Amino acid sequence: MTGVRNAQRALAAFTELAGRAPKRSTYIEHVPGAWVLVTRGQGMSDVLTPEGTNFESIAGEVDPVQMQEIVRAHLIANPDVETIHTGWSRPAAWSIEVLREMGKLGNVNEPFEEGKVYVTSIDLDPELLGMIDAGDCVGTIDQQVYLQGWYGAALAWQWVTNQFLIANDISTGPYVVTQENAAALIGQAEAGIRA
Amino acid sequence: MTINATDPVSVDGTDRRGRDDFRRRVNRMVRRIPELGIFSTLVLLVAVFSIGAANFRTVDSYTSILTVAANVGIVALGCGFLMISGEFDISVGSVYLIATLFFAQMANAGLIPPLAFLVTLILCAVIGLVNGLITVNLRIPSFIVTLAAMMFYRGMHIILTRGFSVSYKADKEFLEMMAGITFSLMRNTVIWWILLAIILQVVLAKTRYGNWVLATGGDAQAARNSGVPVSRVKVINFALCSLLAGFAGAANMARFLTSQSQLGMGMEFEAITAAVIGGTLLMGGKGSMVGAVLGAIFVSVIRSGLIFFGYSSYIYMPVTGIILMLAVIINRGFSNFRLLQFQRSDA
Repeated sequence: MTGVRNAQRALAAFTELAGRAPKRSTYIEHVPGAWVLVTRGQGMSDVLTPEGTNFESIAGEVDPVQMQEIVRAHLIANPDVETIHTGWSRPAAWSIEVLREMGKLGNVNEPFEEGKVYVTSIDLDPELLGMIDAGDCVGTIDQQVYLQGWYGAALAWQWVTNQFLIANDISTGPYVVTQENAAALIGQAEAGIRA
Repeated sequence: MTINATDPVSVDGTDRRGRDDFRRRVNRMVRRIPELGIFSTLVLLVAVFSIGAANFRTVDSYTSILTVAANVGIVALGCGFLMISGEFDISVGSVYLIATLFFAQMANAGLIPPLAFLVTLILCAVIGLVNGLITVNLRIPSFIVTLAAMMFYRGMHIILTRGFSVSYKADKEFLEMMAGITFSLMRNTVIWWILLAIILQVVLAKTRYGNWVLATGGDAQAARNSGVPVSRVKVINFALCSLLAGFAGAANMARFLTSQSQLGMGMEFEAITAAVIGGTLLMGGKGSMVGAVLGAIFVSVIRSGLIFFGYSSYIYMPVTGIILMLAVIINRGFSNFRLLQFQRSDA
């Protein structure tokens, strides 16, 4: 199910930092009821709940002001939240700003601290990429279209028209962006190689 | 001493006259301050949430509620003002969106930010002006005109940006004044909102133009017969409504520095909801800016309060729907009561 790999990656990153699974995790559906977001939340729950994490999906908004205040209210009401997961890069960046204002933002470059909150996302944009590079966001999933089927279709077309076949396997699945490779992506974007 | 059955002092010894006096005083107060109802309900709601959820009673929580309320509230002021004059504008969400793009593009192109902001407001007012002129001159319902405008401006944003976010890259000093933080966590947008509400409330309650607005919404034909320039009032209010939506959009840009096509989606309904909960009649002729402010805070308190009470945040929309329906029913009851009183006094 979608969301399983996201949760596994997030769990691994948090466990590396804290030495345990998060006590409480929140997943934000920025478009409440959107099927892809709902199932992603279910997939994340399937991974995190057996680890003892109190996992919850909450309804968000695409309006940044409302989204930020929903996150703020949720964090004030539930101070034990340790990770926030979003289905889009913008809510992740907005959540990071709120966490910074509240003095609760966890940074992967610093030792784990109780009470801090760590953020993961899906998709990326220049602002979130900068936050990943700075360690303020744990990571995100890059969903460039060529990694999700177009690449496969283009290679099939090459085979049909030119009998061209590449020799090795190519990863066409989601690509995880962390602090390790964020700088490279920023460079590629600046060079115009990718959006 | 004999006791007459019609005497205000009843047979069981209770002072009916006193009770009647009290009821009359309350009625008079409610008539003089119609926002008393929503204000009392709001106080009660805050008290319930504060008692039920300890974390609700924090400065962070209250400022958070005001921040959300200000965002919708600035738009609700314009919607309320227009609704009082008997018209609707459901394009405010799209105007809010397009304002973010106008502001960012002009500032990025080198126009100094305060000027870019001013031109943004003028352009938004022109959008409202066009909506108003079409509505009054072609006699097309404002719902249809602004529905078309809503689709047009959101579509134009997507065409112009190709769906990508547009970032603000100019000087940020002015933006701090627009949407920065002044008192603790209090956003400046809250201060702008309150200032705008005070100005508009004074215009509505204390000026000739305010009388025209109320008269236009109450009975357009009677207002026209009394010399009120009904069409002009409506067109001006359309422009004002779009201008305020543009103001809120520019404030959003000042805070988040990006313009993206999802911004302002559904905002029109939240703004109208706030105005109606605040006592603005859907048919026009009644309402106030104080009510619109209280309505916006009310909606924001509901949203936060439900989160603090541990309810799923998905419940916010159905709860708001129920509250809106109740507000409309109460408003309808109020207008029927007023009509009845008028007919009685006429007889």
